[in-house]
Amino acid sequence: MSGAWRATIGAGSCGLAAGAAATRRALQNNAQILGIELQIVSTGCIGLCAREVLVELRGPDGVTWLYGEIAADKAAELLQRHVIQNEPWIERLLLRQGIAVHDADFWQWQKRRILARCGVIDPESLEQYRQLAGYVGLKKTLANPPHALLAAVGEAGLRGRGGAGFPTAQKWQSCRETPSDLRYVICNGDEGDPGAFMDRNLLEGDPHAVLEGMILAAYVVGAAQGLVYVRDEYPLAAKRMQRAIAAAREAGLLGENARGPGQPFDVELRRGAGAFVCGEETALIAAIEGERGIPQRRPPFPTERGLWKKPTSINNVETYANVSWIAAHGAAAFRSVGTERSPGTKIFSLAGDIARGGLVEVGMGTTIRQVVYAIGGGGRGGRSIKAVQIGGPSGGCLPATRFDTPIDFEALPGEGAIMGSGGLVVMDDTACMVDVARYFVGFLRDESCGRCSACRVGTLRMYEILTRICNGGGVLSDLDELQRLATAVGDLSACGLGRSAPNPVLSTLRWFRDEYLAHILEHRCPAGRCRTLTQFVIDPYLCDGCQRCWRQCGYGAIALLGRGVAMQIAGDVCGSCGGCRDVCGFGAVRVV
Amino acid sequence: MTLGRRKRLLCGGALPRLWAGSRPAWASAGGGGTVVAIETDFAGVARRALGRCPGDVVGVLQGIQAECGYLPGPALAEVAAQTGRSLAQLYGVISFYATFSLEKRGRVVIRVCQGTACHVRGAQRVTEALTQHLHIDPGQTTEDYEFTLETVACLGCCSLAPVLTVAGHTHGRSDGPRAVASLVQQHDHEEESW
Repeated sequence: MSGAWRATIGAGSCGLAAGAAATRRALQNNAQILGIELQIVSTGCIGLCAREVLVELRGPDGVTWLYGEIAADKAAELLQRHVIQNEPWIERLLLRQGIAVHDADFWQWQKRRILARCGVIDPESLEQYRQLAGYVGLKKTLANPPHALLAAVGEAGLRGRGGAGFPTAQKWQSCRETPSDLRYVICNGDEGDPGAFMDRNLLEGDPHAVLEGMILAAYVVGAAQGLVYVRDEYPLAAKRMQRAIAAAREAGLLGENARGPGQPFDVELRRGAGAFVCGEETALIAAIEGERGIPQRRPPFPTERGLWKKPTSINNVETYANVSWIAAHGAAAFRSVGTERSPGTKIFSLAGDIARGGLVEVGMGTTIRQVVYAIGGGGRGGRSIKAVQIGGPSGGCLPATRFDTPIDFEALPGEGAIMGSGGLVVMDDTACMVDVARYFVGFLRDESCGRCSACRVGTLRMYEILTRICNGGGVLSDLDELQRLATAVGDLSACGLGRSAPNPVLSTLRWFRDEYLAHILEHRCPAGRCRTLTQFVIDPYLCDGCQRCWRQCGYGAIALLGRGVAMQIAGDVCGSCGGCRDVCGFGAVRVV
Repeated sequence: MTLGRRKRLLCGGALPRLWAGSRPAWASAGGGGTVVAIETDFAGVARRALGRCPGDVVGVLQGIQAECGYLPGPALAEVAAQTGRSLAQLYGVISFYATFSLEKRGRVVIRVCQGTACHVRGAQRVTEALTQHLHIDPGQTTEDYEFTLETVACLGCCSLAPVLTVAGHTHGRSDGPRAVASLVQQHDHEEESW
C-alpha cells in the first residue's frame, strides 16, 4: 500500500442518523483487514444530506474524493475499489478535488460563504478553524475601536437571519447606547421551526465562527457576559459548542482579556427544554431566568431592558457567523452578493419531497425555482412539486406558479410567506394542503404560551374547523369562519408567534382554495392524505407484483396473489395510510 | 377537544401530587445507554444538581431529569426549599417545557419527530407502527417500564425524514417496519456511539 489515506466522515446529526458511526466502524475494520493505513476523522455536515453517509477519501497524493451513500455495508467495497484497485467508484463519486461528478448542480448554484468551513474542518479543532481564516476578523477588530466594526456591519447592511430581518447594527447601537453597568449578548440557538436545521449545522460544523461573532458583538456593545441558548433537541450542537467554548477559553480568546487588556468576556451555554415560543427573544430571556417562557410586551426592547433587566443584544446563530465573515472580509465584499436591501447570502435547509435535500447557501434574491429545481433537483422520484412551505409555522405555502419569487426579506411577504429562519419544505402531489394547514395550526395550538386569548383559543378553534374539513364534515361557511378567525388571531396577539399564526391558514386559503372546496363539496382529498376521504386502489396494468407494498402494509390489507401477479387492496381492512403508495416504484397505487 | 399542554395550568387543571412520598427504588434491566437512578435519595440528586448550576432553575431540573429519568417529587421539594420558590411556581415552569416529565418513564425513551418534513414523509405511520408494536400511545410507558413513546417537535434531521430517536440515538429514513427494527437494534447502540 502506498502511504497513508485519510477518510473524513460527515458526522453532523444527520450523518449520524444515517449511520455514520457504523460506517466509521466498518471503514476501520475493513482497512485493517485490507492492510490500508487509514486515518479516520470527522467533520460537520457536508451539505448534501440526501446522499448521507458522505465519506471523503484523501490519498497520499493529496487528491480528495467525496463519495455519497456509503452505508456500513458499502465501506468494504469503497476501500476495495478505490484504494486497492485504484479505480474510483464512479457511481457513488460526488466530487473529485472539489469538481462535481454527480449532483453537480447541487454545488454549482450555491454560494457557500458562511458554510465554507462546514464539512471541511474538524469542528472540535480550534487549530483547523484558525487555518481557514478563523479569528482573523477578531484580531483585526480588536486593533480598532468598537465603533469601526459597528460601522462595517451597518455598511454591510447585515439583517438578522433569525426571521424578522432587523438590521443588526441598529440593534447593537441601541444596546451600546443604553446606560448600564452590565450588558449581555445572547446567541439564539433555539431553532424551533420544524423543517429548519441551518443553526444546528452551523453549531455542529463550525462552532468557532459563531463564537467569534459573539466575541465581536460583545466588543461592540461592551458586554462582559455571553450566553448561547441551544434547544434541547440538539444535543450534538450543544456538545460541540461547549467544547468550542472550552477551547477558546484555553486559548485566551475568552476570559479576562478577551476584548482587549482588562476587558473580560466569557460565554456560558444554556440548554432549552423544549418550547417553540422560546425562540422569541423576550421568552428566551424568561427561559434563561428560569421562568415560564412567556413573551413580554415590547417596548422596552431587550436592548434596553433584557436579561436580568440589563441591556441585552440577542442575535441568531447564523447572524453571528455572518458577523465573523464581515469582520474578516469587510463590508464591500459582503455586499457583492445579494440584493440592495437584503445583502449577503442565506442558508436554507431543503427538505421534504425533494430529490436532493440538504443544506444550501445561496445569495439573497435567488428565486425559489432555482433553489428547488436547480439545486434540489426537483421532486422526489420525478413526482411533480405542488408547493413549498417557507418560513416554518410563521410562514406560508407558495404554489408552483409563484416559484419565480426571489427569496429575500421584501418579496416574500407580498406572497403571503416570510423568509423566516430558512426552512424550505417541498411538497409534491401527495401532500394535502388542508392537512398541512391543520398540521401547523395544531403545532401552534400546542406551542402557544396561552397568554393572549386570541392565540390560545383561536388556534384551537381553527384546528377544530380544519380537522372537521379533513374528515369530510366541513361546510362552505367554514372557509369564511377560518378567514375571520385567522385575521382576529393575527390582530389580537402580542408576540410574533400569535401574530404570524394565521399565515399557514391564510396562505393555503389563498393559493389552494380548490383543495378546501374538494374536501367540502366533493368529500374527497385530491392528494389522498386525509384518511377518511381516501381510498387507494392498485392499477393492475401498472403493478409489477413486486410485493413491496405487501411488506410495507401495517394493516394486512394487501392480498398476496403470487409473485409477478398484480396486488389488490382490500378496501375494508385498508387504513388509507398511503404507505403502499410511497414505496411503489411503478406509480401503480392510486387514489380512487 | 383537547387543550395544549401549557394551557392546562391556566385553565385550572388538577395539580399532580408533587409532594407524594419518595418512590420505590428501581433499577435498570440491563445496558442500553439510558440513565437510570438506582438510589432513592432524590433530595441528594437535587442538591447535586443545584451545586452544578446555581441560579439556573431550568438547568437544575434538567440535571435531575438526566439523573433520574424524570422529576421525582422529593427532588422538587428540595429544589423549592433551596431556591425559595414554591412548588406551584416550579410546577408552572415544569409544565411549560415539553422535555420535563413528572412521571417515571421507561428505560428506553422513543421519540418520533413531528417536524414538517417528517409529517409530509409519513411520521404518522411511524407512530402507528410503534403504537401497534408496543401497545402504548404516544405519551405512555409500557407496563414493565421498558419503553416510553413520545413525540418531539423537530430533531432537525429533515433531509432524512421520517426520523425517530431510540434511547438518544437518531435513526433516519424510517418507515413503519424500519422503526420497529430500530427498537431491536437498540442494544447495539452503546458501541456505536460516536
